[in-house]
Amino acid sequence: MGTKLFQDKAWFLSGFFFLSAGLIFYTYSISKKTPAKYLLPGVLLLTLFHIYPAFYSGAVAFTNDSNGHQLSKDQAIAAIVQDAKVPMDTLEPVKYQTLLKVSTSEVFVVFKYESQNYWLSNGVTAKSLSINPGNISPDGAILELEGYKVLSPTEVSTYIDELQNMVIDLESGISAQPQDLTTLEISESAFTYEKSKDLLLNRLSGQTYAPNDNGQMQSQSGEVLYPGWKANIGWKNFSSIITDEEIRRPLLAVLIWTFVNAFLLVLISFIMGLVLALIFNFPALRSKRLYRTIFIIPMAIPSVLSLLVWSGLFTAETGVIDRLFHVSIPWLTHPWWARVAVLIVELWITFPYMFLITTGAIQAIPGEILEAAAIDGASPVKSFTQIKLPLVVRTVAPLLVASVAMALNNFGAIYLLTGGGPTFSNSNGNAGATDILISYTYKLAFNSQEGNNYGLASALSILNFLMVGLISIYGLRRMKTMEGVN
Amino acid sequence: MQRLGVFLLGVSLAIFGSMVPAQAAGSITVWVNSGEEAAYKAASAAWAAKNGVTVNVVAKCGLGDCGLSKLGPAGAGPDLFTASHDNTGSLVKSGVVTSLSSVINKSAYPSAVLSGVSFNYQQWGIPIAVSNIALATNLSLVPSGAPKTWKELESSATSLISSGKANVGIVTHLDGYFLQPFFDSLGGYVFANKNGSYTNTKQVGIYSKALAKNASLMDTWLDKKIFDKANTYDGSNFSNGKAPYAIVGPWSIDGLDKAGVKYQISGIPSVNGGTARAFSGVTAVYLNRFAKNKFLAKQYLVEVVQTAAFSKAITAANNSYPANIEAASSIDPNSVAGKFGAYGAVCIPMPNVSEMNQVWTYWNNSFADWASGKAKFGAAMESASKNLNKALSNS
Repeated sequence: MGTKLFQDKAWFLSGFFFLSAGLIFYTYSISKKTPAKYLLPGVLLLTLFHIYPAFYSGAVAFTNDSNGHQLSKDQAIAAIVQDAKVPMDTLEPVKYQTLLKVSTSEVFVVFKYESQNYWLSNGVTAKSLSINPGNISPDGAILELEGYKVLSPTEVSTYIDELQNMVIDLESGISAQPQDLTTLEISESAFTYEKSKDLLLNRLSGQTYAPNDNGQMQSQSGEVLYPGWKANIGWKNFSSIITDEEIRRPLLAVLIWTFVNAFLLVLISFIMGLVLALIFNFPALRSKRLYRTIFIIPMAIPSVLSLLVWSGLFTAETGVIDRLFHVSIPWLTHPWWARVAVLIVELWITFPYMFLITTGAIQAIPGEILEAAAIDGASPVKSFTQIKLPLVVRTVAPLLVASVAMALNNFGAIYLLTGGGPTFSNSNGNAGATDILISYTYKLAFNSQEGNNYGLASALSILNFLMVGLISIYGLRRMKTMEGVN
Repeated sequence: MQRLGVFLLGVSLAIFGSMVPAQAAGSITVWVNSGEEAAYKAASAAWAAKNGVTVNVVAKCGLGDCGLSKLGPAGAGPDLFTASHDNTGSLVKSGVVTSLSSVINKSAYPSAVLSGVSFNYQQWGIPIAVSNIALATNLSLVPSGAPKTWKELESSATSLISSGKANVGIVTHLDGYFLQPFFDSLGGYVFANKNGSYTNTKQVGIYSKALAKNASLMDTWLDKKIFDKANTYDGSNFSNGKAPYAIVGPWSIDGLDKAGVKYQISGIPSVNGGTARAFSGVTAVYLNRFAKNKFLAKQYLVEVVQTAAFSKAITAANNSYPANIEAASSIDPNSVAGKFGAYGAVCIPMPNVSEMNQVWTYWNNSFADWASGKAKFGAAMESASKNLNKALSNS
């Protein structure tokens, strides 16, 4: 794996693999007892699967990594020149022979084109040379050339890789390229690239193209050539969130819904869980266990399944819910109803969790405290608001913060249930009434039919991370002060 | 402990240092639509055996670029892959395919098919199959067979709905691709087209004058339940005899046959008389620019993919129509594939310019707005057209 990565020029990863191998060897071969023996595998895996991807996507956020910008600059320019090539049909196919330079074992091709002389080339340089007629067979094949070895057809197939990718520039714009093991295609391109000036010249229109700062060749009149290449574009992905109207227009609505959805969900499901927990903590109630088991079911079903089932239930008119209640509510197609539907389903999935943790918290309240309160004459309502609730909230607060953080990133529920829809008509289909930031990011970057924009996706997910991170830190801080009060 | 260390060294060196075996010299890799790999394998077997070459057929998405724009430059792509022709523009612009102008035998294909795989004056794919949607008539509800005119279709559908025999008129998705024939018959179009090439891809005609005038017809059809507002493509309506018509593609045929429905495939009649034109799609094989076995891949394209026998074998497996003229001539015009093909011949090749990507997004959204009752058809198309023209002129 390491060597393969090394060959592919993935320096960091290949270095990491070799270093890991060394570290593992060293750590476990010394006989001393060290904590590293317990920690090393975890640390290495953490680095590989957590820290590396995080930094990688951080780095991608500053590039224009997207469809149409996947090539390196050299590849892109070669592609532009290549794609503008027109085969010169009028010519007979040109035969070539493959030679091996004896001193360097380098592959050369030799062929005759539009002159009495032969061309000899290794794909980088091409030179014209004359060959002693005595060394040429009657059918035009070269039998011998000094310093080179003429390869037989079976020997040639060993050098297929070199031949496949060979492009021989003959003169301005005309180039030869092996088509198979014996023939060359002579073609003429509209473009020539001047490496020293880093300019592409269109020989037909006389237009010149220079690299722009988005990894593309651009003419002075603003015409852009495709494909482009992967380039560093600095903060552009981040600033485009503000400057690009297409992205910005629905952003506020999406952000508001992201927060409203998360907070409403946690609040309502907490209240629901708490109320149920109180009810099912009532000593006189029978078969509590059975009820509790039933309540856990939504949590036990894989949410992918239940979300898809729910989206079927919510289908307008023909869906089970509309039929059952004899109503005609456009659940998934009307913005407000879709939001309600999303909340209902999310609640259904999350309330068992809240029920569980609040049940635990209530049962953990020492009986003496409640007894003491009852003796002091506290009404059941008072004992709930003054004793049970503060104690429960204090216990589950960290979990509530975590739930909010999770709800802010609740991609699956949105994507599977409504797909973020119904879409805003002014958003190019990327944003809808139920889209939260992460699903909007996904659609913007991957789902839109304009192709994948990894750079923008990384930038947006960094912002998403900051948002969720800050809220979590704030929440945890608040909890600490609460602990202080108690 | 030391022994464990040595053991781990061995293991870690084996894992970290081992080489991924290089591809064998005489092999090419082809990515195809999942489900079609057996047909490709069978059709390539003779050639592979004759030349001592392994043809690795791998099932991939086949739609879009299968992630090729990222995998290709990284050297992880196949040598060849199938894609539908409307991706041509995007593939070329991403720089992941190589021109096949010098490989393709143009005389083997109809010009409409060739124009599908042409972009910037070059041919980029070797066409295999043509597929398009068509009208399926449920013969148990409409014993007289496929409607010849729109009037016939509309009146038979409405009378079946009002008598309670049918739930909907035509089972279809309410999106740009499936409703294109209706859109076409009302005078709408995507890009102005002259002799097979697009004159202006910055301007759309999805709210053309003719369409603006006729748009209310679509609202009427939706109200009359000719189209189903739920927009869920409930194929069971058609197979259970609860819908007289359905818009189907070659991919639907197996399902219909399994359900045992008696149906007839035909073109879609236009409101103005004649036939309404759907979009036709060409499945073609493209050559990865970063293919490791270009010579062999080109040889395969010439000696296998381009032959009539190959086109016929692949299309027979999925009910689509051969792109190759010679193969198409051998198709029975009364067979299902023949009927799809006969309608396909009058269809419009789906635009293959990369601008089409944006069109789909806006266009389909406006269809969704219309289907959900958010906007009348004319208003939905007008706003899509306005937004699109703006977006296209910016890009």
